[in-house]
Amino acid sequence: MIFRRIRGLCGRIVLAGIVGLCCFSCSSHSYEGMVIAVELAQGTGTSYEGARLIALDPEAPDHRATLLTEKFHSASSPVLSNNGRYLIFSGKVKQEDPWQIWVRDLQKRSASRVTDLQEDCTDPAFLPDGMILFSRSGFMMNREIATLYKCNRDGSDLQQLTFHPHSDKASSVLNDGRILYTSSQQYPTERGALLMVMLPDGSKSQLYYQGSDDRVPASKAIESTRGDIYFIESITGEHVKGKLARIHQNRPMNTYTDLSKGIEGDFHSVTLSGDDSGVVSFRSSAEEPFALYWFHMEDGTIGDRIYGDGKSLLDPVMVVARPRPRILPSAVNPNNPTGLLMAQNINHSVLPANHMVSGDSLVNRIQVVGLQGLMGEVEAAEDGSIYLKIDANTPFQLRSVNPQGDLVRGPSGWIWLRPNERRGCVGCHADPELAPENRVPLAVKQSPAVITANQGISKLEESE
Amino acid sequence: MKGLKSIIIFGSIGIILAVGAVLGHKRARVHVNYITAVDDHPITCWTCHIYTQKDNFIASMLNEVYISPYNISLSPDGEKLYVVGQESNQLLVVDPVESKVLKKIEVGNMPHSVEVNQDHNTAYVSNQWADNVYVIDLEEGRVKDTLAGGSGPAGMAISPDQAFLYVVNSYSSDISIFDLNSLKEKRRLKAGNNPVSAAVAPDGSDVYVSSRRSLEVPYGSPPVTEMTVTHSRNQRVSERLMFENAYIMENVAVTPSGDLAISTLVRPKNLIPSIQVDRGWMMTHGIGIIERKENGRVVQLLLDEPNQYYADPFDIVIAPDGNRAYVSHAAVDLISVIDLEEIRKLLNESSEEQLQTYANHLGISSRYVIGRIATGANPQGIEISPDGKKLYVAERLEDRIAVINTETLQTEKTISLNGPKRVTVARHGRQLFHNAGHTFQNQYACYTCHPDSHEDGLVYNMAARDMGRNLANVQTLRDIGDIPPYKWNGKNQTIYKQDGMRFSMVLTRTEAFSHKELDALVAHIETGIENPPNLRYNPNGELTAAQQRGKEIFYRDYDNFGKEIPEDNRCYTCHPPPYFTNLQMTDVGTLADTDDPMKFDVPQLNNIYESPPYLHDGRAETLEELWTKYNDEDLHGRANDMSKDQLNDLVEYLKSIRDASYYQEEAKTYHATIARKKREK
Repeated sequence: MIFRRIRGLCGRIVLAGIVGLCCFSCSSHSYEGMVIAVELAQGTGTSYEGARLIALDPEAPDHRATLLTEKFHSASSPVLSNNGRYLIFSGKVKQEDPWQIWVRDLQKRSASRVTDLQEDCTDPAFLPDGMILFSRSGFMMNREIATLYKCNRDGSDLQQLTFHPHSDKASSVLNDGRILYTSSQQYPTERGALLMVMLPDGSKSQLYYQGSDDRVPASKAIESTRGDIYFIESITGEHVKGKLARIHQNRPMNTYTDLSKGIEGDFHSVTLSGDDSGVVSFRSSAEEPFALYWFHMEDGTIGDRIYGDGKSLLDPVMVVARPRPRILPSAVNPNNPTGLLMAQNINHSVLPANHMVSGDSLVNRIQVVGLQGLMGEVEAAEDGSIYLKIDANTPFQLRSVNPQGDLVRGPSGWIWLRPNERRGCVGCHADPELAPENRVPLAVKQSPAVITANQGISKLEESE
Repeated sequence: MKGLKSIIIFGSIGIILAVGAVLGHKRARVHVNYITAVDDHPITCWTCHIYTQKDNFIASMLNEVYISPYNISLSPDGEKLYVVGQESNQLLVVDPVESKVLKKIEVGNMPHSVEVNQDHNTAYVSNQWADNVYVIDLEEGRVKDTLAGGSGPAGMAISPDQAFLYVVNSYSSDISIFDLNSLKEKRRLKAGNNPVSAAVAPDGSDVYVSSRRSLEVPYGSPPVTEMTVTHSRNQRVSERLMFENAYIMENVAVTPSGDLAISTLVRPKNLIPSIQVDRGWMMTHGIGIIERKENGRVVQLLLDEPNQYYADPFDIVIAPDGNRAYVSHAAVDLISVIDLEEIRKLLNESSEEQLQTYANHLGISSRYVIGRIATGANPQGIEISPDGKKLYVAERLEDRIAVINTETLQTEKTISLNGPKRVTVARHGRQLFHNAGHTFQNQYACYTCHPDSHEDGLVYNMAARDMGRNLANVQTLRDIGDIPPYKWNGKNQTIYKQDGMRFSMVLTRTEAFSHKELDALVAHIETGIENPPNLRYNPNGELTAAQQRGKEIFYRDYDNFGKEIPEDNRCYTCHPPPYFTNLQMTDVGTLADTDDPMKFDVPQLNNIYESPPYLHDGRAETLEELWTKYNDEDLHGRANDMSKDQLNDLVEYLKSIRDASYYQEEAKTYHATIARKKREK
């Protein structure tokens, strides 16, 4: 009797063990080599409302796709951590919820919430130090904008990174550790998107790549280990809306290649499976849903269709481990409420002078213009250099003025400095590929001109 | 009872040991935190206490003598490769076809270059730290003669008629011309500052000598580096071509047609506040081109790209057809392949003004750089085969030669020079020291500002707080392990801190070194960087009469008026042997308006003769100026009582100061004397 009981007990233990092992193996299901993508609710549209994330095996496309966002009404923008283990995405549990950022350990089943904000949070990316970057919707000057933020995986230490009236989206991280993102000005006028780059602390934001009026970056850009950067361009005025483009990190402004040349169809998004191959979300006509295809990056040819079941599949990501980008140090110091800006020669510019200028085209000062109007004016030193101290995290534009008071060039795009940031430029809209001349800018021999958002005029800082 | 006793005894011992371990660990943690200035560096005692041993049994067990191939030369038929083993003090004869080292010939201290004559029976090896050139019989594999010229012989060139050998003397900054029949020095010509390489035009008309350091320029001006052109017919300097805003012109070559002479160079940005690295804000790298024709121009073009830098261009060779040049980049482990036809087109179509712009243009290189070939660690000297099909590269920190196919631009094979197989911690540190991978976009390595682990002679605007403030004269890294603190403001108590987290924030602006990398880097800096022998001013330890008089002034207690000099104002108080620093912070009245308030770390004086300019901001061009221009109040030692002759003697003595190891006995005597003086008081 006792023996039977013991046997029964052992049997139950063994059974429990087997069940536990099965559960464990299910929960630690490996997604390595699979593609995770957004499956839209509708066939041919591009609205993420009701969309879900699925994982599928590109080598066995007939296998059933695995649903990764069971409890979500909508999900989008999947991105993987560099080790391929964690998936972050934008999702909402109920239709009326704002989009928020979620993270899921692919070795477990449940997802945990990262952000808990009132506004839509989309387009997440992992920063090399483990923080999460995302785009948060909002308003500035009554225009709808999107601003980049970062926070820890539990949502703590929320930090704003961009501070201009732009819509900043589709961020990713370059191998050198900087953040690459699409940015389109919303105020005072709307402008097409550019690719901008900045440090992960929001400092040193600058232009990375500019398309043309009818051809603007429209997706997350991804970099291969060789420095090739792929993204989708949105084309206006043509029946094809999305093209696949490549630039090179070493010289982004001048290495543009249209990889969709000769391919009839519409690209929506792209991911890399290696340096030479990738997966694209593509359709050959606007009437069809987007499906996933292999793509040969080197020669720009489209390969076999991987998956497509009548619903559009967008934003693919390959579950592979990738080298972690560099973790860049930060010089931002919240205890210093200002930043410093120096330009070597404000006459150094590739922009033509305003054709309305009646006097000199040589300028001798710049005006600093904020969202509320003129913040101040700074006289250039004899060599054309300027040096100013300005409130941090405050958007401003620069415009150059000649001795007659004519506005010669500008205004520039919106600029901001982070607390304690020190930034230098060769000129005002100088050739971005030009290194500075090796000379002491005369302006830095004096204290910086101080511009504050509140004062509205410049004054020389008292010498210490 | 006995058992209880044992339990009590062993229990007590256990408790004591446990408490000791806890307290010891706490102490070790505090100690390691102090040394590294971070709180997460692993407590590994051996990284500091074993890896940094210099001259003892442990060090001999830990460290290895590597070959470190530096410059190479190919026999005229291309069948043998001659490799200078800089660290092993050897000339290696290599069969590049069979990938074999055929012979190792012992040469002098720190050999620099090798040249082989046209008959392929004699090689000349310059021994930079021995002040001589070995004449080597290649058939017998022995040194058959020694040529003595200037100090620090480095690059060499043989005239096409094989009659003369031009030897560039890097320390005495001149050129020795040896008659190869008589093996006598026929002439010595003044060159630029720290000249290092020579190239003869194919027709033998001119010899080009490139320099590393800038000439003396007015304070705050950009560097200007000389390319000395010597006319070979009359063996006189025909031109001194100036490369503005450039320095470290390591090597020079002339095209086979003779239309261009091309040198590698670095364009530093030392005068601009160092507030960022991107967009070429700290260093750019390229080539200097001399158009060899009437009214020919001196042009500089970059090899960098806007988001990628090719630091420390070292050697340059030109293909036999004159259409391509190859440049080794020592800090990024690459060879750049340059289309010279495209360069010629660019020169022909560009105005002077456009060329001025191109000198700073990071995008222009995509017009003429047609390839980048990856190599092993720290590529230095390169050679091209007579048919132009093979490129040989000395991979210094791999102890091997790479053989590159110039058609495919791929490495075909590597030839091991049979150096030690083990990569020691210090060797790993040396690889890091020479590599720009730890700077944002590979813009510079430690070595870039510290060529030969010394200093580059420039003053940088470090902009510690505001821009335009805190100018810093680059300091040597030679033999600094025992003389903390570091930086002029003495804020870094150890090399760990100096090269740690803050270093990445203000200087390299990319990810900091890992703990393991930092251990290796510190091991290299503490153990692997020697001072060269002071052969120029103190070759055998015997002081000249002037130096002896200067020494007496240095150690004097009374001034010329018989007045006792306050202890704090005597030279030896702050500059005691063996390093001639008391490791303290002091004020010598040199704080500038642009400096944050601070005292300065007393610098060491070993080999001080080779470290101009002087003072923390480099305002003193010479040692004399320390007292003639910047010591009005006698705060930098009592000196205003001295006559000009006395000052000259003092300077002569200072120039004679050698490596610290030479002053160990003098240091003991010094301390005994100080103790005695104190007792007497």
